[in-house]
Amino acid sequence: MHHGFGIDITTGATIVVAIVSFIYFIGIMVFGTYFSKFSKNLNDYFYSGQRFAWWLAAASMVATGIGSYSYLKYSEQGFNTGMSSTMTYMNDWFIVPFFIFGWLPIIYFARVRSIPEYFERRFNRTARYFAVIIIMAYMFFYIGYNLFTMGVAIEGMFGIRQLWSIPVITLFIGIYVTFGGQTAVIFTDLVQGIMLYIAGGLAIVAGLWALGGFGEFWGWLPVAHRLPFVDLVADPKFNASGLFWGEALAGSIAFTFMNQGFIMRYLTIRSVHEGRKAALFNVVVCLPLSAIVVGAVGWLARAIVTKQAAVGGALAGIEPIHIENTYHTFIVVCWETLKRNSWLFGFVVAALTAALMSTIDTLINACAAIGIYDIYKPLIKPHADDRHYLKAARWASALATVLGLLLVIWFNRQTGSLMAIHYKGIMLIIPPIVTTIFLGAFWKRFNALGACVSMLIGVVFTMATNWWPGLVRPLAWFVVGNAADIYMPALFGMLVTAVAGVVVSLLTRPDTHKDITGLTVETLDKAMEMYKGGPPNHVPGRPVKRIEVRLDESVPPGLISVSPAAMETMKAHEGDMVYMTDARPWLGGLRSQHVRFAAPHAQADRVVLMSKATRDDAFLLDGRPVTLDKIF
Amino acid sequence: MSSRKSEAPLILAGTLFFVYGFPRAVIRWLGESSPWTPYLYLYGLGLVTFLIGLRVILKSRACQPGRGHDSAWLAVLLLGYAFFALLHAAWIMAALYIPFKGGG
Repeated sequence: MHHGFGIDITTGATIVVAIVSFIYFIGIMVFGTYFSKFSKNLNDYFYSGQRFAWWLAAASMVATGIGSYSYLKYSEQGFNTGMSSTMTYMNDWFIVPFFIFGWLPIIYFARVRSIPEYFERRFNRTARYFAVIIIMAYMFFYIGYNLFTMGVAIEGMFGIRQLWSIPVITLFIGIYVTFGGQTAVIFTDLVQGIMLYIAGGLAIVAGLWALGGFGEFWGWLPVAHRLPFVDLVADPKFNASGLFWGEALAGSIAFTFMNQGFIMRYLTIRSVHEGRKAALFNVVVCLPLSAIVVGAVGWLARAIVTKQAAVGGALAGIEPIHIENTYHTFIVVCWETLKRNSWLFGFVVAALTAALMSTIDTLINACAAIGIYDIYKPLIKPHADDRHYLKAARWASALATVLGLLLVIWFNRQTGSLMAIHYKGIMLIIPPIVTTIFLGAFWKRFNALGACVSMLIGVVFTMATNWWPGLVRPLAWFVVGNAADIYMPALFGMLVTAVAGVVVSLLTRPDTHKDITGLTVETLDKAMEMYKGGPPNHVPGRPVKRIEVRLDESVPPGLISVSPAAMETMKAHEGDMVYMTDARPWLGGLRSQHVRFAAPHAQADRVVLMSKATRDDAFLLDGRPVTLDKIF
Repeated sequence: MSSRKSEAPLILAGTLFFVYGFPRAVIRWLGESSPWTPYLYLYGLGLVTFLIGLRVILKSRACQPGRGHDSAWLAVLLLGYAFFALLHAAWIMAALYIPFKGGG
């Protein structure tokens, strides 16, 4: 008998679980590697050429947002404090206006490849390298943390030492990210997001079944566990006040504005309008659903335990559930409510693995993007051809994977709970950078000196709270927070950074010598014009669907020609940007490209003319119709 | 431009006053342990953040109602705030008013 799960499981069942997980690993690796053929150049490798449909990017964000630790951490939180475990997933709406009308169009139209690149264009090179250091710290923290938590879980489940399990996992992930690039990441994350929901849904249905339905679940869940919020200040590690300042503001801004992985997802989308749809879907649908998927097993566990105590024994059809170590809540409840079925349980364990892989692959790809665009290209080899950079990008992905692996050694030496290590680290890293991004995007007067000084001061003072926690006390009192909580350093760091940035900028001369058009919210009209290369056409038109492609070498590469009737349907003019995609919508833009309208042709209405080069660049297949949609 | 400059200190002072006064007023009214206190804290201070965001995007003309899809997106933003606020309010009421079978 093997008791590694904290549950009774036979050796045979353990082997079944391991086989299911292994098959899943191999399947995902092969699937991801297939998409390497869609990475022709560096832009494809990292950004997939700004061509995907909103739903594909949004769906793949699900898997990115759920890490390997999410199931364990949120199920534990759900068991301890109930449905308030959803708070961190459902408090993002307040910053959405800043994102969809501010930051998203800025980075999209300015064709910003990485946040540090934005810092150089908006401020100067010094600011760029401040940003590189902080963002890389943030990314590697997440990579190391994810690998570490997965190693901990595997050690607990199979008894395999982290020394062996983590390098093997890292090798599998490294292979498909290194060769596949962003397209591989997006498509594997789409599949893994679906897997996560199916596995989470399976665990929830099994729990509800064991309880006797939703009415029984709600009836046996204590009132305090049903509430969507925890007490305002009572618990220093989980309270409503701290979560608002540290999570809803600092954490959400970091995740949406600064997380290179998410930024790259938005940059793969075919237009800003579609990017807004992805953001909306993510905040309104994906995040609440994810909150349920990762936390519900903990809520069910609490209801089951309460009902067991009331009826004086096990519920009908399942063994009694005892959670001695809340860290294993998810594993214990799934195993029992799935009636110890090792195949189904193996599927759930594979989903845990999926959560790890889908978060890590995005982070590795994002680290490689920063490594190439912010370090290798500007500092080491500025004038190489695209093929060279693509090769370097693959090496950078491999290097990022290895560095993440090495960080696990550091995590291994840390003490305290997983949640404490996570939030304590993140709350110390993010404040200076999120504040500087925010001021840079929304305050034109913010200058380079202000940015550099504020980041430096922000880092020093935020880190200082680690040794002198009393620094946050006056601020905690002012906002009615808990002075001992792990979120207040984030608010303190943001405030110090903002004050330093504003004071220095107001006391020094504005950066009048620098062209920051398109890099602040006030200049977005101009940014749109620069992106298009002419005045934008905002008149809404209708897409033209399933139109026949004919090759015509007289149409220059990058341009297409359609009939006047098609132009009228789309309300388009010559020179307007148009999105051309394979007519099969379920491809999500895998075979597509941004092109421009040439002068209309005089052939049949439902024909589009283009050169072979244009067709090949869009990965279009011979004989397949396309759909056209004017961007602006 | 000058009116914008003169508005900024007023907005800052107003925000600070609200951040200081609102939670204390809510606690005095409902008590610190009421389930509605964290709700009002989140949606009260969150509303300030949200409104500042709306003001910034409208003043900067990043959002221009009447242009393209901007009006629709502005409506989505307002409805989104209402959606989450109502969802959480309904959730609290369901938690409080549906009887608990455990007797505690």
